Amino acid sequence: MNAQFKKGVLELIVLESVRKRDMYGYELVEEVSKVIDVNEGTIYPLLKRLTNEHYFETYLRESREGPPRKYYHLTAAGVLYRDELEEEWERLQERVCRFLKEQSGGKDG
Amino acid sequence: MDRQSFLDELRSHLQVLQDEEQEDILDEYLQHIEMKIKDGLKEEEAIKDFGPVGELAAEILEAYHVKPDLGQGQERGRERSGKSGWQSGAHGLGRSGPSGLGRSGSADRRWAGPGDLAAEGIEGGTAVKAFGQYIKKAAFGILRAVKRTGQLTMRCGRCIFRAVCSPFRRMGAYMAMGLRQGEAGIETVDPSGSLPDAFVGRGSGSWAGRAPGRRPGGLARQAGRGTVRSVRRLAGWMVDLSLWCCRVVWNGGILLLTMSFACAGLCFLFSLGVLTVLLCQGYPFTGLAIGCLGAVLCCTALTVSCCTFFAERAVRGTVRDAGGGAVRGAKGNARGGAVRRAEGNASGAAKGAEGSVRGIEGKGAPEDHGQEG
Repeated sequence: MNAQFKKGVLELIVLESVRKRDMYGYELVEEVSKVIDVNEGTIYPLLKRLTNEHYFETYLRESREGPPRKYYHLTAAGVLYRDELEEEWERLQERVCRFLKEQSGGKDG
Repeated sequence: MDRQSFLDELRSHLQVLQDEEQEDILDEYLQHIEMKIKDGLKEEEAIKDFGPVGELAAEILEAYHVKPDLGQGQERGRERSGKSGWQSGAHGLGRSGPSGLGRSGSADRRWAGPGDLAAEGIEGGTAVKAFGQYIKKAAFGILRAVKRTGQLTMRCGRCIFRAVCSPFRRMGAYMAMGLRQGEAGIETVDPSGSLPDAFVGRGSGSWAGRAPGRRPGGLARQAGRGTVRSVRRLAGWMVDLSLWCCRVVWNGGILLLTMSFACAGLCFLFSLGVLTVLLCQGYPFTGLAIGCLGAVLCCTALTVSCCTFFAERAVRGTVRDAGGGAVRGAKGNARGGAVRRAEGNASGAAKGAEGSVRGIEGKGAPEDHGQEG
């Protein structure tokens, strides 16, 4: 997949993933990797940025398997931002789809 | 690349961030690596999935709104030169290109301090010039200061040398002058009177006017006299200085004592005032008030006594001077007055005598004239 596409949509996927339930970094990377093939290293900076912008808040939770894990929780601002991104994505998708259909219809016609 | 080297390299890229943030990021990556290893991956593979460390660090820095080149610049600078942090930062800035200089320069200033100067210097060359000028000015200033210090030292040395050598120089001058005069066989008279009589032909000990072959006997004696005079003068200065020091110390001590007694007296006076007011209001502070009054009087007496001690030296001097002056004045007055009076009396008497003579004459004359007429 095109890296720019991935980069644009990655934020929405991460927000949506965390909206369902709180997740820690590695879990989130695995979740995102199910949707798009992305470099694992890029997820953490994104998480950091979203945390710095107060869309996420973090907390530590004890783990049976090792040291305590840092969980990410979506804040109210994060939910609003996620909804906004979803709307934008749908609008963009709709327009692009329409454009592509029109173009293909014109060619066919 | 193993875990530790990966983390070290990443840390080196993230130096611009605060230590807590760095630790937070590195912990997260470490946890990720450990989980991947638990899932069955090798350490190298787990690290490889992150991609190039530089790009990863750039993305992290972007999340903090920090220009990624800054982190790379630091790393490059550190790798190449192994210099200190600010120098490396400067090196990195130098490679960041002109477009990024403004922002990255300010960011560098935030953490690096003097690095910005060097960085801008590397980039533009103007800061290097300014730095060079600054160094030049500083060097000139130091040189000037050294020169001044040298001049002062030379001057002091010259003064000391003069003070030490002046008796000998004077002696030499006397000797040369004496020799010249002796050879010429001229009896000279020093108009200023600065030369001893023996050298200029005055007095009985002069050899200048004598035959040329007999002069050196008095020469050494006169030279010795000059030296002794200089030494005596120096000793006099030393004694004066020591006396002055003693006087200053004494007066200082007396002044301190006087001030302390005066302050204590003022405090007691204040207390006395307060106690008097309270006494007037009916409080039983009679004893205290009397005690304060006594203390005030005591302090006043001590202060005055100290003042007399303080003034002792000056008073003595003035008493002496004044006394001498008074005595001298009295003598002068007495002398002058007596003389004047005597003169006045004498002249008055003479005038009176003259007048009386005239009167007698006048009186006598008419009589005579009358008698004659």
